[in-house]
Amino acid sequence: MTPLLELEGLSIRLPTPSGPRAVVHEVDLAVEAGQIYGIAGESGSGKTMTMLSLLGLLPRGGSAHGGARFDGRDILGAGKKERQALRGRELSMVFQDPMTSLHPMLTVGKQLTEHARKHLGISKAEASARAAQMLEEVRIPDGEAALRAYPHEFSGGMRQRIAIAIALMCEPQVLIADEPTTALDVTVQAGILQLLDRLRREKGMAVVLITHDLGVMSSIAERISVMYAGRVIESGDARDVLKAPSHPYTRGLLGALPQPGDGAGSELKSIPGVPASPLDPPRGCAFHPRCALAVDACREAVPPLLRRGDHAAACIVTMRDVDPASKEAIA
Amino acid sequence: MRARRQSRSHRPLVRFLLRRLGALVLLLIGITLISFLLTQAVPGDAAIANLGQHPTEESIRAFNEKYGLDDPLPVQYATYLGNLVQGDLGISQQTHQPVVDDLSVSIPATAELAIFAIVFSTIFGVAFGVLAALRRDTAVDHGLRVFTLAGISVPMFWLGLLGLYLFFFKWGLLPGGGRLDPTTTPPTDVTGLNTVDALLDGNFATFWDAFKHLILPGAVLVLYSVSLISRYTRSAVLEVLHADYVRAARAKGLSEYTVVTRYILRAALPSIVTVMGLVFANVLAGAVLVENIFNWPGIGQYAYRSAVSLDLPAIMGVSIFIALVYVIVNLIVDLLYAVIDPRVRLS
Amino acid sequence: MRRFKRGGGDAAAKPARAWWRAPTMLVGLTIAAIWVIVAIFGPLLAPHDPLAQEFAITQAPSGAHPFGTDELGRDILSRVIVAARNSLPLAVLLVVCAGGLGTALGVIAGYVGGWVDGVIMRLADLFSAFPAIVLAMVVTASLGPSTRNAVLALVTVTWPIYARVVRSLVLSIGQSEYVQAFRLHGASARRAMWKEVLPNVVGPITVLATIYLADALLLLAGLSFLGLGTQPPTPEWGSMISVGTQYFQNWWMATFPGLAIFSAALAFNFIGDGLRDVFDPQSQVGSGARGSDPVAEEREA
Repeated sequence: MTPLLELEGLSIRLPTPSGPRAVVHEVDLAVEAGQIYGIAGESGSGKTMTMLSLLGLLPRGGSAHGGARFDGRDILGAGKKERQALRGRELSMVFQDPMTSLHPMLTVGKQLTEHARKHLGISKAEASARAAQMLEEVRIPDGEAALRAYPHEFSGGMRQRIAIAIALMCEPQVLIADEPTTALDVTVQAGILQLLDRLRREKGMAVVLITHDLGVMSSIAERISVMYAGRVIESGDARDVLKAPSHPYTRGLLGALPQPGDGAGSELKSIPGVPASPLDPPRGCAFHPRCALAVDACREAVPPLLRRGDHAAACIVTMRDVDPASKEAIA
Repeated sequence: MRARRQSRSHRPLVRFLLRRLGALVLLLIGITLISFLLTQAVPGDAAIANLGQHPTEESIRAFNEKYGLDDPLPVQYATYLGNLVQGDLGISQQTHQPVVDDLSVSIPATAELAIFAIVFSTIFGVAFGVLAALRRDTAVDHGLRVFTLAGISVPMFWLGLLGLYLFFFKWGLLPGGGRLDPTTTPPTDVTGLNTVDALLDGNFATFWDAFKHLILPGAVLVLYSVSLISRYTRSAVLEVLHADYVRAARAKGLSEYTVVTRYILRAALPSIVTVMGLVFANVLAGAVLVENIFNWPGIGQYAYRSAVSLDLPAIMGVSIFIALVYVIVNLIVDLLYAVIDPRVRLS
Repeated sequence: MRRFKRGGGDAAAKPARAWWRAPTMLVGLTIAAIWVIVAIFGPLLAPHDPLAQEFAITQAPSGAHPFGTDELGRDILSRVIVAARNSLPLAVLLVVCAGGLGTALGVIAGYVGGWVDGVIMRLADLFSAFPAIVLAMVVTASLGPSTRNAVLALVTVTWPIYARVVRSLVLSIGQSEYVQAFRLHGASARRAMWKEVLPNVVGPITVLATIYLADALLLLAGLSFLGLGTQPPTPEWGSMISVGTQYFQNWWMATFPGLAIFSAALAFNFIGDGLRDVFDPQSQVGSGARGSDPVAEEREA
């Protein structure tokens, strides 16, 4: 089955004072219809940038190279109008901070209907009806009144729900959620995640969930890619990656999660050192300065993604049993 | 969970308005008090100043009695306030006309100039500001920056003179002052604005004459205001240019035009409205200088003449009027904030 | 309220702006330096006595008199040079006095709060309800036109700008977490003010003052132009232009003083603009404007 969203060797360059530098290197990714795909990594690892490039929303001077296909169509090479038609319609995005991603001076109703009217050509009344219905689906009470209200009249959690409703207005095939719960209280997080899962199932929509929080990831993701310093360093089925991580970085991230079984007074484990910057990564494997398993060879070349069945990791130490010939890019 | 909503979104607006009106009344009282006290600080005798070289005892007494200058201060103030509320601002000691009449003649002249200046400077100022912000750090941006800095550095009176010298004296392209050519009959007085009245009369020749007279003094005022508006607009737009909601708007697939007008400009509007208030003040202040040079019979001229001849009722009248206008403009600006930004209505 | 914004879209460093600003800043500093030197060494630099009415009247610019002569036979170049000694220090004086008064009142209003704050802010509203020129005219007319009265009048009208900005600065700094931490440690209110609040106010105020220096110069010149400031025969740029108005065809009489004012004001504005970029690139403080952003103040209040 052709994946709905396919990235092949995607690289992104951004302008810096010292010239254009690559911040994302050779990313391979494949998202199937109706699937929840998680992209994990710390801030600065390039995960948001990767998704922004698909929407054509890179900062001024940025450029994306490589292959990116949506529903079989090339989107990187597509024209401006084509990409505009894609955004908000077939490919939607929900951003991290609900307090700032809604325009403070426009009503909720306006923000729900404006792009729907543009993309779908429906009338104002139709759009409003659809909007009210969408609000109901995201469990915002009193949809009619909510349409006339302004964002500041709602709490953070509700605003995020509104943002999700906005993203769903045109029934997109893929919803990209960039850290949707990070700015929200823990108590509210579960609700948002459940909402995403339910909507996904009801609408047959794929969800790309970007987050640094592996706990969030573990609750709903089906497949996961882990990014570090602008590269995908591990990917595979969610359970495999989270239960038996192959890359030392992923292991470190999971080990750092406090478990219910840990006794009081047990130390918080953290990965030593600081995350590598994608602009100026260490030679060879970007993680090697912080890695307990590093050997000399790690310093020499960037390790390719080595595949063990469905599960791939870019580590020559943990995957040393794998035949390098099987390193073709996989999801 | 959800913040409690007002049952009707009009109520906070009304309360807001009432609060502001209350402040306005207080302010006006303060202004009248200050004007009054200032005029009391005038050394020398108003009677002597107004009656010529060697007035007789008799005429001095008559003068003082006529203007109530012998009464104790609080009484004088109270009398003045009483008259003020009835619309009587006293008699100008220069023109010997009621100050109200003098004002009603000079106000439209300045209004015409002010409206001309504000309209043109807003259109160009906002356009330049948005352009500079969208093309940040390019040659356009830097060029505009230097231009606007120069625009606020030029002394208005000097620019007016320069304009007169070049366009009137040397090249004979524009008239050298006044509102109309001496040979032109003024249009029927409806608004007091010659351009508008001429159009209402259907007389295009008069309209053109009036307009030509507006160009030079107007341009002088416009230069300063355009620079001000452009700078404020630029920084206002820059502030919102990278806002999350702007990015979210693009992510929805809205056209760039919609993003700029509905998202960016709208968010920058409060700052632009702020600068409009400032522009108004500057235009009024500039009018004093510009009217002086171009012989424009407006409030500025009136204020100047009253000040130098120590025409107390006129001074007070002008001060109160200008302050009133200023305060009303600020009130409108505050109202606009509430209309534009729903968050302001809550506070 | 601080919100931690994750700059997902800003991974690239913004192109450095500072060095682009340098050309205007340099030009401004150069011109300002020239004027300072002229102001200091004025009488030594002037080729003739500015008050001496010894030359042929209303001569066009020539080798002997690069700026021409005026209606009383005085050399204009010398007058323009010597006028710098009057105009420039006066502008500085005005800014220092208004700025000082405004800062003091603003700090008090912001720090003490309560009814004191209310009173000071109402006074500020009151005094800025009059356009500067009008009030200045009335004051100088009633107290008599002179340099001192002109400065006095203008201080009265311009202090509110500084007061408002300082007050909102003090409010926002006072609420910031590190000052609160400071006070939690038991430091007295006054120490908190001296150690934390004031130093952070000085920077923006200096920028503000530089920006308004140009304004001050223009205001003073305007008053003199109207005959309400420095009185003749003391050479002053504004009053020279006023005379030039009457001798209209002799273009040099008004042009050179005007150029002097323009170049000085431009220099100050260039410097202020550059300074503002260095200290506070996101500042909403506009150049050559009265007042600051009331919307931001609404939110502070």
